[in-house]
Amino acid sequence: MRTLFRGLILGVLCSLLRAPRGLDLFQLPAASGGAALGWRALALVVVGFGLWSALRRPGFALLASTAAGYALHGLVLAAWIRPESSFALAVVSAIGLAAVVAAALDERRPDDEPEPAHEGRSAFVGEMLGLFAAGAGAALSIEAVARHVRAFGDGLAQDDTVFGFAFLLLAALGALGLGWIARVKALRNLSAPFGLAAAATAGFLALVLLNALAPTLALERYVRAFGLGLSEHGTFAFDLLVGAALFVAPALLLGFAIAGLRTPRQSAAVLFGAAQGLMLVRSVLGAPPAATELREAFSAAQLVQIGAFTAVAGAALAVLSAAGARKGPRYLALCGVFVLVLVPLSRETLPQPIRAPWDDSNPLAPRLFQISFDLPEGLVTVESRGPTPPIATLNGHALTSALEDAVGEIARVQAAFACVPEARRAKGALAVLLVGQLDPLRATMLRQQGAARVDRTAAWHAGMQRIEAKLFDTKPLPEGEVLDPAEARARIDAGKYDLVLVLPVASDAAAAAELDAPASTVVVDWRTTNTPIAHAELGKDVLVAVDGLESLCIARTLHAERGAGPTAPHLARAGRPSPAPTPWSSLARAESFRFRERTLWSRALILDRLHRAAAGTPDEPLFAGLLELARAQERSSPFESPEQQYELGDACLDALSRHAESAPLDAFSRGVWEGLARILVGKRDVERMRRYLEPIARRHAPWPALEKALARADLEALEPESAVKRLATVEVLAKTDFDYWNLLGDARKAAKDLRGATEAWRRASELRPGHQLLERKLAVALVRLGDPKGRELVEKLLQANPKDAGLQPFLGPGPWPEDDPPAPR
Amino acid sequence: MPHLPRLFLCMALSVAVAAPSARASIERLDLPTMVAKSDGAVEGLITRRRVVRIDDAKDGPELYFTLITIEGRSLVDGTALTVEVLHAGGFVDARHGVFNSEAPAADDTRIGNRVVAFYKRSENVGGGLAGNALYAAHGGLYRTFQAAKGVIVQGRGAGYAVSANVELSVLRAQVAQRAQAKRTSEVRK
Repeated sequence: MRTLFRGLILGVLCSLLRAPRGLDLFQLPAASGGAALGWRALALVVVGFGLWSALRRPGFALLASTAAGYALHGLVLAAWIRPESSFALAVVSAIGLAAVVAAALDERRPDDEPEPAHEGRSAFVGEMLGLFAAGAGAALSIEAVARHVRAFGDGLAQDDTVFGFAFLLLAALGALGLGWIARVKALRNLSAPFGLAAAATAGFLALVLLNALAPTLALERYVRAFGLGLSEHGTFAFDLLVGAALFVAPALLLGFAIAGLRTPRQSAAVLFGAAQGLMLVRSVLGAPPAATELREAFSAAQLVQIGAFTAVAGAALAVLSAAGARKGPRYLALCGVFVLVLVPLSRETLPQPIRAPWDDSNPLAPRLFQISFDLPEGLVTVESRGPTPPIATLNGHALTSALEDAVGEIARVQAAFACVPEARRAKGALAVLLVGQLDPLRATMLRQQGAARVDRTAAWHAGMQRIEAKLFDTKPLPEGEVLDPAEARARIDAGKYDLVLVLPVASDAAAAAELDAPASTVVVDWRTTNTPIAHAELGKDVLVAVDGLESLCIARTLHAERGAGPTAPHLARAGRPSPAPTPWSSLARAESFRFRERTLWSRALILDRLHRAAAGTPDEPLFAGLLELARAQERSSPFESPEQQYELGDACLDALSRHAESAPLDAFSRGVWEGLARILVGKRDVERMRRYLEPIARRHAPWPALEKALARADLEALEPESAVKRLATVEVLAKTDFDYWNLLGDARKAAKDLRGATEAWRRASELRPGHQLLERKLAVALVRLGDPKGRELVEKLLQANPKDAGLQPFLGPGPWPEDDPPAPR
Repeated sequence: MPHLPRLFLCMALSVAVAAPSARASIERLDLPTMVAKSDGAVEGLITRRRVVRIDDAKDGPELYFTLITIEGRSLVDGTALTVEVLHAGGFVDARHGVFNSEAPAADDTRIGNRVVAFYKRSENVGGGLAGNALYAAHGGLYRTFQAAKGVIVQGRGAGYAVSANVELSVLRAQVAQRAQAKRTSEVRK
């Protein structure tokens, strides 16, 4: 019973001491490797003390209860007990240490025969050092495997919990199934070091399995055999299955090794060594990259090799120093250890960057890595798919925005700058500290908003210059430099920045790091709503930004100026934190490109909080409508268009209309309405466009986006003259809008004004030269009007696409087909 | 809820789940061809939608069909008509069902929508199910809405029986005329 209780405490402790994001301002986008590894190493040290104070040998019962405790906290109790500061982590460590030591009080000594003594003090020291090194090597190797296993989940703490649980459970099974071998008298004090060396070396087998499972098809075949699909990645069953497959060899052997530990000091030596092994990960991966090719190729996979060598060396020393071992078994064990060393000697470990192996969203556009390297924080990649611009990722989380989120990114940056006092903005030449990854889009936006200097920092600052070199390529970087967090903090305290901007990374909810800056510095800390944040401390007000109806983000702010008007950022009441959902409930929801169930659920939670906080204020119907929208979403056919897949009920539109009719609209609410307009246009829902968009467009005229949507409704209703008239009201505002001129051309053509249509299409063509579909329409129209430029354009288009049979008749003098040719497929 | 481009999904996801709809083959149509090939056309209100599951020894297990009841008038002769049309695909509950690449979008088949539907009687659309199949799957269903010019039928683009938006009164006349011509040629045969 005491063993079970001890194991539970150790498991809970190991889960508690996982550093969250946001321990400080600079760790908001991602936890630093030093913090993450350091706290986990401390957990192992406390476990070591716990086992040192225990009189019973570790075995199946302890490992199984540790697994249970780890899962209990990681999947359930984390909703209520989660340290969110370094101080809290330290307190947890102290309490944990006290608890494990207390669990050993009055423990009854087991009736085992006494352990044989060492031949001398040096043998004892040798054995302890050997076990320490073997523990360090095993930890290095297993940590390297774990880094790769993480890529098979969603990169969230709950996934790590399931992988860790799988590992501990397998270790327990190893102790159960193989422990009797380890406890054979002849192998006394030999099985543990040998087992540790074998566990470290088994990391190579795990890498082979990783390689085999990494291709999407292979992974799909594997999970289908258990009745699962790729879209269930990030759920408990999926993570457990994959974790078990990849950890099986090292975990079983580790269980064997642990079952072979005979004294508390041996247990403590192994655990202390394992803690040191984790810290070695930081040293090895955190070393500055050298110019040599060898160092450039250094990766997490190579930690397996280092770990195996270290473990083998330690095991050899421990075997030679072991007390009470007879010659035969001792030399047999030593031979076994030397056989194991052949594995790292003979295998070449190459980097294995694994990214989202479950991602089958785009099989014809595979992920291409422009660069990938390992930092203590995790795997960094700069990657692209198809023709889209590259993005940077850390541990599978995007550090920069993909193309589909560009509009959302613009909204967030604009909203952040709008928080800087007007008088300061008017002077221009703003100094900005970006806590996050700079890319060309962000650099352009920051420059457009008035930033003259952009310094950058984050947990992965050591790799930032390499990332920027790939992202920017030949494009110029803005003035500014990459800083380490200490230097960044010094500059903030010296008041060097007008704005400190933390851009969101879709990952676990970050802790509420204190936003500390002088009064002259505005701080904006953006968070995504893809994972639950409704339980977080968000302060009194939050900034909200959205791209239409997508990528809803909220931000904590410090020293932000409240503005007014159509471009003012939206500050909403944050309200009280909601009860935290358990990680288990998050794991029960899949997140795939087919249906983002977890994102929708998380979004509904935060919108519910904002809605409750907005009770009695003009914002209430706004958040009521958005909440209704989030709750209405269901799994849709993948064959429908994105707009068709949106469930858009009248209840949502009614609530949002009430808000728009009673309150002035700002950038956020205008963005929502423009998103609604896009969806209604995509749905071709003419009746609701007229019912809901028309009054809003009239009340808040002129509004180009809504007028364009309503013009499309007019065209659907076969009222092109109305469409032309409507579009004319916003011509001045839409001068540089390609979509406007294209649409105006279509409307004029439908109204039988072919000449007017060609004028509009010409304007569109000037804005976007070489747009083939537009040029095709223009060419046909010009031919019909008898304009010789028409034929020239038709010839040019046919040269580019000779198979365009629909255009062929327009080379001739006529008569031409009555209907315009459809666009070629 | 929208997701990333699904073009490649159309290739990856098995058409085998839509095997019954392979009988309603994908074909390029215009209005005369649609009238010639279909058994009827109705304009009216969707009043009911249900999904059935059939487990058939010959065609296989888990065949799902969506049945839509339309109450309105025949486009051919204007008589009052209530007809149940069907297409492959649908879900009986949150977990059991299939999506079908040729099925109409959920927006098109909502209860309360006014639609035009072309259908053809089949004694076995799959699994032994007999009924009025939407001709050319989603290509046989068109939404309508009320506008200043009257009821407008929303076309689906080139290659569909109703390619561009058209007034219902015009479509009705065209269908009636084509149906009359079809009857005449059948009588002659």
